Amino acid sequence: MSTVKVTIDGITVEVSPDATILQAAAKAGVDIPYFCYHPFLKPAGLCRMCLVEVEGMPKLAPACVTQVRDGMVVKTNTERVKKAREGIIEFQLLHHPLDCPICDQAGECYLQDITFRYGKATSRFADEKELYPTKFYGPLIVHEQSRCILCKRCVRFSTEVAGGTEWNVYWRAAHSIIGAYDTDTVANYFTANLVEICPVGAITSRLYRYKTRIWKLDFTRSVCDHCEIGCSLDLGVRENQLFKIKHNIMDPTPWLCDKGYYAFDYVNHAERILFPLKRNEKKMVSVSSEDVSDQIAKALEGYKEGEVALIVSPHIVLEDAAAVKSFADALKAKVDYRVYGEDYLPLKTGVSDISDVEGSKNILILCGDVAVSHPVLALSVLKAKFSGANVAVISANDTYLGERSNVFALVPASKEEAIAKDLLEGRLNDALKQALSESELETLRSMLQSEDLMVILGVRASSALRSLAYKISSDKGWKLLALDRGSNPKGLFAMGLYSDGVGGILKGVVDGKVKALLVFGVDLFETYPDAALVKEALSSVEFLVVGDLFFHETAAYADYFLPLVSFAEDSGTVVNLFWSKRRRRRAMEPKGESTSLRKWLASIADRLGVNVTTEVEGLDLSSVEVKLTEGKVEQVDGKFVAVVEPPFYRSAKYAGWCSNFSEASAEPKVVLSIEDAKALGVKEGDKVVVENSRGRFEFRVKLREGQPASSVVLDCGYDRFPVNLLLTGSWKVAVDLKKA
Amino acid sequence: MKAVDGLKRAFQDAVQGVSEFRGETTVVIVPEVLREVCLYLRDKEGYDFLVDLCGVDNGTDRTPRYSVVYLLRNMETKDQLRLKVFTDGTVDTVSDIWPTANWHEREAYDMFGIDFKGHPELERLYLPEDFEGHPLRKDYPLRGLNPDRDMYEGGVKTKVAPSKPNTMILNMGPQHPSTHGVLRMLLELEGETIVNAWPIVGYLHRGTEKLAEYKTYHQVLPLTDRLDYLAPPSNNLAYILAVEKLLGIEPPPRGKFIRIIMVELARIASHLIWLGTHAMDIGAATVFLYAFREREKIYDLWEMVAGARFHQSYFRIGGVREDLPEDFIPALKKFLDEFPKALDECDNLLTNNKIWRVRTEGVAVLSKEDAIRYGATGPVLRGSGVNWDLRKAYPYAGYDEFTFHVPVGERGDTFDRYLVRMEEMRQSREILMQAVARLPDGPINTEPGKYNFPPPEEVKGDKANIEALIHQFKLVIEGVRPPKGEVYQAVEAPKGELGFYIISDGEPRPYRLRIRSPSLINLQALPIMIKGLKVADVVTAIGSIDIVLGEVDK
Amino acid sequence: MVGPLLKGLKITFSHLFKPAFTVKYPYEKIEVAPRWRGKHVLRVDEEGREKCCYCGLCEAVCPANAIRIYGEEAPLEKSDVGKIAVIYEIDYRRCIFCGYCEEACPRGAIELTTFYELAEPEREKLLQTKETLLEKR
Repeated sequence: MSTVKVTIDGITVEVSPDATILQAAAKAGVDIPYFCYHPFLKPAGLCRMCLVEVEGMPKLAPACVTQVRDGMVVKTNTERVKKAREGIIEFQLLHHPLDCPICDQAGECYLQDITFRYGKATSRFADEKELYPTKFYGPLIVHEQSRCILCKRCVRFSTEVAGGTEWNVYWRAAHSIIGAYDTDTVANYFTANLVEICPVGAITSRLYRYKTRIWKLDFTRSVCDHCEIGCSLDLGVRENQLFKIKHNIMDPTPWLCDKGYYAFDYVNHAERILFPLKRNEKKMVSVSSEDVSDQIAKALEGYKEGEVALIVSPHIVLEDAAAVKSFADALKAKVDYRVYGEDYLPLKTGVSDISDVEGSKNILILCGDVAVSHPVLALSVLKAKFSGANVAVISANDTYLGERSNVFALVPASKEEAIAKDLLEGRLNDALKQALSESELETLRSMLQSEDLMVILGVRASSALRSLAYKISSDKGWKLLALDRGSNPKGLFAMGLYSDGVGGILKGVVDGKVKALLVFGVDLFETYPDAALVKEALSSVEFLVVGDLFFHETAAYADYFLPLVSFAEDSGTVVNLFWSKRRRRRAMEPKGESTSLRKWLASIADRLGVNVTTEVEGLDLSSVEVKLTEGKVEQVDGKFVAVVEPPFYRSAKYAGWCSNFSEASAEPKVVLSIEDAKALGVKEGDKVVVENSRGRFEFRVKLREGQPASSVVLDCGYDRFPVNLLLTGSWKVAVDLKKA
Repeated sequence: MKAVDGLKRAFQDAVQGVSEFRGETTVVIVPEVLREVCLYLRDKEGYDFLVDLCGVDNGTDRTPRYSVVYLLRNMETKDQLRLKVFTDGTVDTVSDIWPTANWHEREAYDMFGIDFKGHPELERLYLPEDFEGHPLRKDYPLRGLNPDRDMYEGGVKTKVAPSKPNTMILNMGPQHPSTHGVLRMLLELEGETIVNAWPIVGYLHRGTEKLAEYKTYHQVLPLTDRLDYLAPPSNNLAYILAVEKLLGIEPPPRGKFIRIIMVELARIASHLIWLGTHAMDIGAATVFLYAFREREKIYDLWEMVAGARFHQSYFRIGGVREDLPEDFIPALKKFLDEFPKALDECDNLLTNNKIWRVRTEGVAVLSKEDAIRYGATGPVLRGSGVNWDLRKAYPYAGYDEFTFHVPVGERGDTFDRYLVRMEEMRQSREILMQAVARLPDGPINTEPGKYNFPPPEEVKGDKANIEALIHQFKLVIEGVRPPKGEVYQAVEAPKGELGFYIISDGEPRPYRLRIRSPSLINLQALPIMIKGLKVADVVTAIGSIDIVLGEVDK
Repeated sequence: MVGPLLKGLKITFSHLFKPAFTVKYPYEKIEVAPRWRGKHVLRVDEEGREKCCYCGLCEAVCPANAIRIYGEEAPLEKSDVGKIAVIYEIDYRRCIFCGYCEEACPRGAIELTTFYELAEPEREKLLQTKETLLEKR
């Protein structure tokens, strides 16, 4: 690879010919200040802070956009450059409000840092400052235009990375302002990046607003707990309270999603149970940690092989999983982690890094809403799209990626799997042909013929579909990425924490085979797609131990409640989407008597005279078995077929206990087609009744263009709104609708 | 520099590097030739005075990890040279070349664990004998190894090696009315006569040097107040001047004059306490009250300016916190009018008093040679006949614009030191009269906003602007970033040469802050001063050295 | 020998007839200088709204880490800028009364007054909170 030589302030470095002066300066160790430059956005040259003197150029050059030439000589410490910097700073500060005392950016503010280093300590401005009102764009972000320095980083992120159109610049020249067109709420899954990317306090987090100063926080690097991508996070803790999340390194991508950024304050919630509880008739009373382990062990002693079962959350760390496995083995108990009723197990494929996605030329996404289940992955798909890839989304409910793709088919919920199966086998189903234009179909055909195709299966894809996809992509040399729910499902699968499904265990309870149930880290009423079965099982089980952070509906049936630690209070290993081990680190001391799952199991096992292990070193991920199943692809029929899913802002773990995050999705909605709405006599915002033989719920109408007839999407995940009662083991169900 | 050239010629490759920063020369040599280099510098180049010796921890990832820094001075040519060796833990002693190095090396051992081969008695200086760990190491936590422990129940030194048979070891202090603080002495007595003495210090050790590494340069200032807590402006000045030297800035003329006023008042105040307590120790209790009466007036003056009678922390990097209040100069003039008479009163009670003369003349003699060898400075050095005052030798902070004399003694006994300090008080009054007469107008801070806070009216007043507000914020939450480098800056404090050696790594907090404390070094000479004297004379001797334990123990 | 002795006695005797320098505190109180660094006060504006808006500078600059603050949003009746300190504590067991907080405050919200009678027999009561620090109008 050819290189060129550039000299900056007397230091000569060799860089690639298409490098900019700014990149060369970074290599030389010379600091050049900037506002609008961001290493992962296209350089814009807007703020002019990076102006430097280049020998031979009459005017100062902006280092972030000026390409180097061989033998270029650059100076950053001349009088001209100093005066230019002072001038730019003076201009930026002319109308800047005296907000530092109340601005949350203080301590990490580019304007403060650059003014202190390069600007004057006094002002010549003698007029009135032109200020703008503060705008609260919903529960997540606050926008203060007065502080904005018009670097457009937020707009560039929104358009170049997130593919959005709502956040942009209005008016122009001196009247330019930035904001969202046509909406008072900005909740587009990635507002976290707007807050982090803004170099000043123009966009700030509503959740963090005013609580504490950033320099009072101790940051610990850990890994996010919401999905299996496991983005690197820095957790900011002060006096053992978790106040803020930051995303400081590119791991795996430079971006974060709103779940990781906002859905963490459940850790500090006042209603967290911090001490063990035991049932005393209708009430729960507190019991000491010693006693509770004694009593649980005593109760478990009386059960025989096969009478005890464990259901664990797919978010637990490997060390906990090892303890669970050894505990279950010792008690000859069944264990399963698939609390969302999945009939599938994770598949190890050749996709080992996110760059495999970003570099694909063709991406086909089936049976899932990637931006909701794995948001950062959606940004990587968009990155591929913006580099020229073809992206096709065939889904019963995925508008985020769909609207930004070149092929987008909203298909009926009842036919989603069948269409996917046909597509994988090379056929274009009729329902699909109805949903797409001719040119889209042509693109789809060429994608299926291409050599560089990645297939992404969303979390709704059944095991039969996954097995089929695995076989076909092996044959055809396609890349396959099968997404799972939870943040450590692949790790738990590798450790063997599965049997015949959570449904199998619940049915075992109802049949009387399973007499003692231990449920850790999950509210089955919220996660399992058959609330009636859950209720039946929990009411009839002889002995129930529940471990979690909050006293949720499942816990209300428990004989014993054990307080667990949150992800912030525990270290552990998880296996991410790409089958690599990631390390979570403890950022705060466990609150009260909350203890990790493995420690609880160890203390109970101790009293039972059995050993549990937390050993994970020996886990070899390179030799994980692929478990395929035969079986039929899912098919549901009915007057209306609904896909039941939580919206993004209800889809994080413990979303209901997070203040601002869950407010972004305030009311459960039903998405239906315009024709269906007309037939029912309802319009946008009206209420409809959705019911079947198992239950009846009211939803607010949301119309969606292109939504197929007789196919609806129902929101779940709201408090005291148990939509799962309608379900019978699958997330697709037949329902009837009528006007409320 | 002549000495450096000579060194290079004599030692060639053993000289690893020579550098200059802010007018100071640093020479790095290999540790193997340390003793020869030191002997060469002392005998051939005339570096008879070891100002300071300290250790530095360069970081757990560096090999060699520590450096030992020697600051040498040629009293005749006034040249200063910094010598540095890098070591992983062992270095030869130089305590036989310059006896003052004895306690310095003990302190470096105490704080860093550096072993000085050949040291006659290498034990900890400040910390108890059985203390675990070496606190100034970078991997030693600020809160200590046992932060939850309430009290240290460690060892107390009780055994010393007597120099003669049939002597009695008497423990004096640390709680004692006349040790001027928590000073402990083990005295080896033959009857009433002192055969040997071991001062034991560290009862007031608060870890100032360690704390300074965790505070910004602005926040370190109140720590310095508490060194010589009887003359706080003097400590403040020494520290601030060192930081300003690092930055390469100085305050405007009015700022300089205001500082000198505060510092000379401090000199008078410190000597007044010395006078009062020294006299009271010897028996003249009345002088104590007269001296404190005048000192109260100085407290009132300080209260007017800074709002605090003791720990002012009034100086700032680049100037002072705020200008003098309007009623200050008239009040100062009134004090200066009354002061000579008050001093004369004490003078008349003591100087020609037979009891006083008998108790002080010929008592606790420190010879000229010993004074230099033991690193004594201040009135102790001048009382022994060495004409050395930093305000004249290396004029700092604007002292070169003032006319004053430096009193020098002859015999190095208590009486001479007494006369020197009495005259110094009169000379300080002279300086103050000149300062009042010639006090210039103008700004009190250099480049406001960059080193010290911007003027309040620009931050919270009617001229408020965003630039000043931002600078106020950044100065607090980040702080001043001096360039990388090291400086040593000393002032003629009332007790002697108070020096600050600061190593900056470009961060807002000092990498190493070393305090060269005059009381500690002067105290080292105490055993040789009291040999052969009676127990009662110990009190006289301690008083005449004039120590403050805050400065001794840091 | 006698001469200096008599001279000395004359000096001390003359002080019998001079006014006493001491002040009989607490029956007589000395008025301290206006700049006296005494007890802190959290100022309010003319409408009684707290000036302190938790900028955090006093907490950051305090060399003794004596100040502890948490903030929250506030309506316009409570604060002219919409932000106040919900917890504001100064631990007088740590405070060295250096006045750095007063100097750093960009709004003049915290000031040191001339009140100096701060002794307290119970150590815990030395923790000053908003109740004890807020200016009463």
